[in-house]
Amino acid sequence: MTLNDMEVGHTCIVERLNDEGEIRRRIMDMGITKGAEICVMKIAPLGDPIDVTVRGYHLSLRRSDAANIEVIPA
Amino acid sequence: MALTIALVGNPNSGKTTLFNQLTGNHQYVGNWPGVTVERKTGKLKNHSDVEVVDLPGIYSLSPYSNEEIIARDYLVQGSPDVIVDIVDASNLERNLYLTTQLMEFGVPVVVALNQMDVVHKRGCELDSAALSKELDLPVVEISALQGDGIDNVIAAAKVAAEGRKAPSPARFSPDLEALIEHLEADLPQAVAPQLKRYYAIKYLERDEKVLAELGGIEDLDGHVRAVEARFGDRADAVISNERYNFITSFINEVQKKTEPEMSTTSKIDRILLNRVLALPIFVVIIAAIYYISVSTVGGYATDWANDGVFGDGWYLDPVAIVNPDASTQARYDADAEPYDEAQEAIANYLDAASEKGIDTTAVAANFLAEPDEETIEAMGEGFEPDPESAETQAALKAFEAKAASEGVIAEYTIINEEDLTQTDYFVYVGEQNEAKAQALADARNGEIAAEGRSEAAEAVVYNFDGEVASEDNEGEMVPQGVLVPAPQEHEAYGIWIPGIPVLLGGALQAVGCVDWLYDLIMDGIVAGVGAVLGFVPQIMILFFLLAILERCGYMARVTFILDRLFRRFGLSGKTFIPMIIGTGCGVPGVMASRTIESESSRHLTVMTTTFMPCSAKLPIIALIATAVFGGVWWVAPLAYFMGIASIVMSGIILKKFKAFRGETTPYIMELPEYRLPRFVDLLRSMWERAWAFIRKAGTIILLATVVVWFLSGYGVYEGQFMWVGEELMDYSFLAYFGNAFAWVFTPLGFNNWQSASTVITGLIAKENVIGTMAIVFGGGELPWASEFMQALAATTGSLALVPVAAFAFMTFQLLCAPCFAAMGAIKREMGGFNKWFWAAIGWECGWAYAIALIVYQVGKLVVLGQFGFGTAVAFLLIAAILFGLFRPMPRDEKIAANLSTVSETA
Repeated sequence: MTLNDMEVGHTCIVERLNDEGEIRRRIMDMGITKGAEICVMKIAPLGDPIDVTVRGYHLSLRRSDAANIEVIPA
Repeated sequence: MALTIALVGNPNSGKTTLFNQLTGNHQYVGNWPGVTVERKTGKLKNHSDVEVVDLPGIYSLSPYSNEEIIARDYLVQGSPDVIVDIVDASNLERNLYLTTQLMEFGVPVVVALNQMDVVHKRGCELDSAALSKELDLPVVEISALQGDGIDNVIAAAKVAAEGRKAPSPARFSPDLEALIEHLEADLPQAVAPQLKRYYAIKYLERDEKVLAELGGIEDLDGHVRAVEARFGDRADAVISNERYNFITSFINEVQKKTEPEMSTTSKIDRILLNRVLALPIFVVIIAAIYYISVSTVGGYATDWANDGVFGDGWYLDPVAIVNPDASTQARYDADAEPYDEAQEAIANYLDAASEKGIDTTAVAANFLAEPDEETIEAMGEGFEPDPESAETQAALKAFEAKAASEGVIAEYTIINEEDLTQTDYFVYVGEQNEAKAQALADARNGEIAAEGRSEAAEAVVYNFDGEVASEDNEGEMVPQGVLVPAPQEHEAYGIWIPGIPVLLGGALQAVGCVDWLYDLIMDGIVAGVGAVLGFVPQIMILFFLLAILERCGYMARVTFILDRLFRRFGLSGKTFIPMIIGTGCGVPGVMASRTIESESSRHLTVMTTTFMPCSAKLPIIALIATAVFGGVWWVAPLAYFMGIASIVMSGIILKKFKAFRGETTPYIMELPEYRLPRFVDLLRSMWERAWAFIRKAGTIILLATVVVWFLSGYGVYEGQFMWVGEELMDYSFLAYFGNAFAWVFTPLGFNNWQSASTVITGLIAKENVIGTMAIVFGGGELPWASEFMQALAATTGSLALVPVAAFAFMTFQLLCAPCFAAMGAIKREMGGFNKWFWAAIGWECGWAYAIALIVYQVGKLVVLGQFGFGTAVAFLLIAAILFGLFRPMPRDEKIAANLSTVSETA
């Protein structure tokens, strides 16, 4: 399953990133790497993007990018 | 010893605050990622031989954004003596990710641990000594905000720089270390030994810039493949993982986290980012900001500045703030208003009488506050008005007897500036004429009622010399006409502070200033610059409120709320940051678009950012909102939402053209912790921006008003170059100039040369629009704002169309090409005077024209119910815009776009 499938309030562990190039690199730079714990905190009023906590801070990213992050529910 | 310190750190880690502390500079600080876009250099306070370089905030040293490239180019080529890495202690794990990269440059690194207070407030502990041991780097605790620990950073940086000890890089897993070592050995000889690890890692990451730089080292590919085979993932992912693994290996030893209950930020976000409430709250916040700064508090401040400080003067009276109705000004007005009304009636009645051949000289000389010069001359030398004298009274009785027997009735119209209501006066003399005047007024009231305008118009009778029963107090008699006493001097009512024009005018006359210079200073500079400076209080209030939003952390949330919306238009939530900065000034607004990664979105943002009303356009909005619309609350917010709508609609329409099609803009954004802004910082931020506005008023606007004054004061009349002044201003150079293209604005409802000329002077600086209006409409009997409305009434041919034309005027001024300074910024961001630049200017002007035309023509249709050629054009334009908005993505290009993605994946 991917980060995009996670429900608000649930935590998961990153398994791998399927993105390509720049976006993938950015996501990694922001701390979403294999083994990182992510908790989905909020969904924006218009349904996208989502707000997650990773490595102790809040990060927002789009659903289309979240769909490329494979996770295992914790 | 001379040395260079490079400040590096994550966005929003407090880097710029530290830079300001170190250098004593006041760089712009905000609480959102990406405030610093360029690198800045300053000298260390009290150490002129130490240079401090503030690099843009970055999360990593990837080659993807301009900030990252600026930062790493400097670190590789600029070779600083020491890097001070600002680490946000409240966000340690991710901040250290950059630290692990900085450790690879062979340059000494000092870690400045900022925001420890936030850590303590959360009930967490952080052992900086342990951190120092793990990283093998000096770690200094600081508070950039309070200025604590700054000396320690300087001392540590000096020691580190003198030691010249390269940090030992973050250690990865043994397998990866071995592979990196092999790669390092195979790097070209030209690579400096201390940068070998940096280049080796960049090579593994397939960093395009490094690959291009090193060139011809394809034989290294084997190393990358070896890493990927060993770890079963792409090499760059392996490196990122290893960096974070290095950090997590010791992070729990260094920081003790108590299990967090809900943080303050989360609590606030529960409301502000609530799925249902977030959008309404956002709209309310923005509307409230502009409501406060334009309509209410800012409006009062501007009235005070414009009518008081840069007008006749003002009363020092705290009551005016609490209860304007009980203020000294109100008491003065209670005396002055009936007098002004009476003066108007007397002047009009005397005009009407003299048209019938009745001599009005003696009455005019004695009862008018400002009789004309001919009248005074006719009264003979040494004449002093004395309404009470027997002689004057006799002349008055004689005049009245004649006028009454001739049955003279004076008729004229007064328009209330504030609510645009109109009053038709019928002035009479003598009881025998009262019924006649009343009949005329009744007939007019009948017409008004038949037209359905009873709300906005009224006809009344007025006695030239007599008393009438008061309307609200039966039995009390109120004087009218010549019986109304003049108000006392201002000083008799309270503490009166004369306005700058009054003081300056008096001083100039006292020193015997020559006439033309007096006119230049008073009617040119003071009128023009004063009109602009009058808006300073309002702008300060707006900047203060925006500073709160910027510093508390809400701005980043706004991008979160709006991203979905903006993405549909080919923009990103980040577009909102240039837009919001653009409400201060378009120049930094356009520059802020650099943080947008995708080129097509950046181009779109640069083209459309200046649709947001900047502070210089604020006076135009304020003028239209107060003078034309009587201060209704919705004009100012509407102006801003019009700016937003223009950006959004332009985005949708332009995105469908090939030139703007591009990769979707990435949106990966940190939502920073909320912080309570410090009051001094808010004041400083407000003052810095207001000062820039004031400075501009004192330089370019001053110059422009002088030029405008000259062009409007001189001209060619009857074949002669001469001073045309106010009476003949229609023959001035400015009038010729404005007339040459005023016709362009016919479909927009403001084709008079005055309005046209403001469009041109507005290009120099938008403040000039108001400054020029004050000059070209000034000098009439009415305040210049009213003269502007009169001019619109004349061009549109209907009083009812004045608000419509004024709104169209405002619309055009707000949306058309920005000032030259902002055009310069657009040129820089587009990369020169190329097709992108001209497309931007062309689109802005075209859009402004189309929207203003729609506003005027549709408004005309609604108000007058007239359907004409212009209305048809307006509907065609609406149809064209709707087509642009709703047409599907052109198909051929869609296929091409798909093909290119296919080929990329293949």
